Amino acid sequence: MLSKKTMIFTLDALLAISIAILIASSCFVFLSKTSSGVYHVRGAYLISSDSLTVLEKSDALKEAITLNSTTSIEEFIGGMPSQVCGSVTVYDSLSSSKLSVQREGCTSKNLSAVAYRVFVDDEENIYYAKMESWYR
Amino acid sequence: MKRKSMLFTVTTTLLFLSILILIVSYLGRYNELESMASTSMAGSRMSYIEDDITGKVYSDILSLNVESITEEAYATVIFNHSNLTSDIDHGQLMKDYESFIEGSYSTINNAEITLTNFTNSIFIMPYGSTITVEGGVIYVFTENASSISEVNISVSTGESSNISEGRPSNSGSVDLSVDIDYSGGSFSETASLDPAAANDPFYVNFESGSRVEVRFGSHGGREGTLVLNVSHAAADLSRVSVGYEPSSEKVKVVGGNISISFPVENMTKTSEILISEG
Repeated sequence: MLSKKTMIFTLDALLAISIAILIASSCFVFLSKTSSGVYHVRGAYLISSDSLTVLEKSDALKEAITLNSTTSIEEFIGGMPSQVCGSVTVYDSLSSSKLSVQREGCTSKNLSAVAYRVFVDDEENIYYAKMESWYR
Repeated sequence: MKRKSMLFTVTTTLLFLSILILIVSYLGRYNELESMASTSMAGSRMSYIEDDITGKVYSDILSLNVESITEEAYATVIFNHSNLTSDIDHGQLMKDYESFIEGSYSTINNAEITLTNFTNSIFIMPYGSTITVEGGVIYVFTENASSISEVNISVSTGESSNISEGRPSNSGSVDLSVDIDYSGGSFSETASLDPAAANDPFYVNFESGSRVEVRFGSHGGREGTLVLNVSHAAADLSRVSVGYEPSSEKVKVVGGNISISFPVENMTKTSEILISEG
């Protein structure tokens, strides 16, 4: 038979352990609510939008449509930092895909972000390019 | 012993509570930063979309490029136009672009975009000049015609065999100089014209039936109108320089207006499309 003192000591220990577990669990739950996803998506969006701006201002998008060749876009995507993956697709104004390029060696998409860029070719036809970027 | 145990318990509890409070405040701060990052990203997207839609639209569709605006003795706006030909319906091209932006482009960007006063015309402020490209003709209409001091125009065309040419008689104080380069020759004339008078044109007729004509004065009931007309031919307006009396206001060239709205983020931006500024 346990003495009264032992009983109190056991209850006290159980209570202490319960409180410790409760607080530790709360900390875990709170910390699990944070994620770096929004920053990853923001970074990927900036890569997509900046890349499309460069491709448009350098006339690479227009050239790709005029020559029906993806070489200049492939070269640009291939020159991006190795940690970054990207794909570019060009559509006409009726959203019909005209050409598509994806960086070699990039398959699975983690958190990705998409940007669009509209441009007009020498015949005044309207096209838009879609770029999706993500980190390896 | 009892007091020591009590102290240990209290210290441990306080320690755990401190950790909990620290984590809760960290979470609060994190949520705040996440919200700021989302808002900042929406702002970046909005600026990017505005630049995308308006950045090169007038030079790409109308082939109209404002080279420079200088404000010295005169406020001078210099622009050029490549491939002036009657085969292109510039008004329709602008309407098509507007429809695409307000339709498909708005949808893919999850935004509501509206272009207003988006036509085949751009405007020189504060002089109230309107430059309109309509097929093979460029009109520069100025509300305050007396503000125009001089106009210099250079045109080049691949046409040859000039069969006749002409220039207007002097009638006023606005100095015009017109240079037309064609295959195998050139036309270079000047005149001082009254912006309110229906002056004769500068012109060159070619053997092929094509004609390049520059007219300044009252045209279609509007005083101070400059008309550059290329018929049955293609030509490049390599340089059109319009000099105005100096103004205390900043000279700028603008197009229509754009409104971008992100319903999810509850953000809206409305602005004038700025093409160039002095």
